[in-house]
Amino acid sequence: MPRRICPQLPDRRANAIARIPMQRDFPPAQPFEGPLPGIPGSMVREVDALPEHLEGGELIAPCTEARANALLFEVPGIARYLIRDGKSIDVALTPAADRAAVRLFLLGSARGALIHQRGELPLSAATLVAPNWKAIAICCPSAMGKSTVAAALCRRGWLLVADDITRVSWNGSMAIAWPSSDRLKLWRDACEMVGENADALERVREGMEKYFLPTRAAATPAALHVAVRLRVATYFDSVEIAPAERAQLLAECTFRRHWVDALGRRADHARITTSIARTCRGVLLSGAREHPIEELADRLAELVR
Amino acid sequence: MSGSFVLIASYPKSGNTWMRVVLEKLRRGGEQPVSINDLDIRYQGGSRRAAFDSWAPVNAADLTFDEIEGFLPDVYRRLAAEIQDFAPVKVHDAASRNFRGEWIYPPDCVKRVIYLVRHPFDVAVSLAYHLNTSPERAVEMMADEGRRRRPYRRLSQSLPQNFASWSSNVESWMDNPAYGVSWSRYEDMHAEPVAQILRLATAAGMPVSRHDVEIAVKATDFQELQREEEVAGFREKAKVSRQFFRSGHPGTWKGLLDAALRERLVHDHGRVMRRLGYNEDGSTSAIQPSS
Repeated sequence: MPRRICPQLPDRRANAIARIPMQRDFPPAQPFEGPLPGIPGSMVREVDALPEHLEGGELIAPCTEARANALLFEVPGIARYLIRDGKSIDVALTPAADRAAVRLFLLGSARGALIHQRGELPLSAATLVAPNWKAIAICCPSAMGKSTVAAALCRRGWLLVADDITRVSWNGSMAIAWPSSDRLKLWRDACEMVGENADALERVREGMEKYFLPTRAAATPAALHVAVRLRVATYFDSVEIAPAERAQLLAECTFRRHWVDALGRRADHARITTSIARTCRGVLLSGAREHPIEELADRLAELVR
Repeated sequence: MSGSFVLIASYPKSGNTWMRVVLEKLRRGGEQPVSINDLDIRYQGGSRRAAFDSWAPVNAADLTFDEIEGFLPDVYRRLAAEIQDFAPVKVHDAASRNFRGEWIYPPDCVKRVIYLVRHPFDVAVSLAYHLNTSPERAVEMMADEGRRRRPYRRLSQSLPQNFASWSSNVESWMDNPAYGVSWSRYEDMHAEPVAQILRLATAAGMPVSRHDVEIAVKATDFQELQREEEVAGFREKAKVSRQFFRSGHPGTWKGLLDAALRERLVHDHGRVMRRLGYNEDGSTSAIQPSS
């Protein structure tokens, strides 16, 4: 069992921390059946086959068809996924597919589509709760180091809420980030950067130098305090986004933003980004990738002081 | 052939960026200045990864090389459909097909390929400097066909690229009937920039005159680019690189590339070198340019 990277936390926080593994795994050796982590009422089913095309749908992107409340996508050689009504995901595996890869895309893009269909916001972000209980969503495209800095923050006692895609809903008075993961996906060099031995960790999928790093995780939903968009730069700079422009920031950080219209969710998307923008700060933080990861973690920590 | 991308293709350190600066100057026209940090990078580096992640159903970071290449032709088609006019795209990959047999850059959305080639002695020295490595390592890289692609240890901002060897890179484009290719030697571009750039820009469908090109060449003098990099930096420079615009002159290998390494380059690439008029003593002979 790989060791956990986060230090022991103070007792007062213990009740909020997952003490048992989160129901999230969909072990690759077993059929994919059950609700998605952090999305009560959802249902995943492994099926023998799915249609090649989505009835009434249109091709909106490579290997992706959509219509209102339904999206079908395929990763050739792996699986086909049909996501409907914000409730169900059917997955049909290609014969001899790498089941770890099937799970990866189920918990990634398929889950993202389902969140869209629910009229909620799938943020391309790793989200954590700071020791003062303020939640921060670190938003940026791949390869900018959000999982690495998330791992560095976990070492300081922060709790992971979600990696890659964070489900954010609006409860009428605040933005809620839903827990979905108790491990981060890190490349081998990132493992080394945060002092972990990659050889002791589970591979994300065969043939890839990418590993699951277990972390301490939040067990309950968290009020989202700030969404930070990272930018690559040789200098550090932090810019607070004006309240009127926060919704735009959230829109730009939406997972597969172009799926919104095809799924008939434009009004919902506008509504939820506007609502979240009322209570969630927005910050542009320059300096990703070009500085030691601990310095970037310091800058993020300053944003929730 | 119609389409929206003009591929500026070359093995690394062969004049690609200089060519893009000149073409950008021509696109803007008149007296409008062009900064090296204003070049269109929508389809390269981190932007190419972001574009892939925007259009493919799953992120490239979770895919193998083959899976990424499987999606790329359709991703490029989707990107090309959004382009109004044409977009210059920097390419260091060798021309290749994916596992389904499709060209990675779909010929139906490539308006023209401008291929640039440079004497491998100079490429080796420039590559070593650029990657902050030894000339020996650079010479090894230039012979590597990239067929055994090992999983990478870190996620680079760029999508994976496959340069192939210097010789394969050259021939994959220059002999490729799938694309309309116009090519030039770096040494000829340096000796007669106006004539060469006028020929290449015209082939790419740019309505430019000799006078336009003269202005563009003057405004993008190599020393000017160096000066700008010193003052403002260059956002496309690799992190390990000390300086991107090192020396624009042909023949900079002299004193930096020993006889054994020159022999190795001739051994590895002699056939293609002879075809291009690149001599074993590092000099360059006259040859007929492409159309």
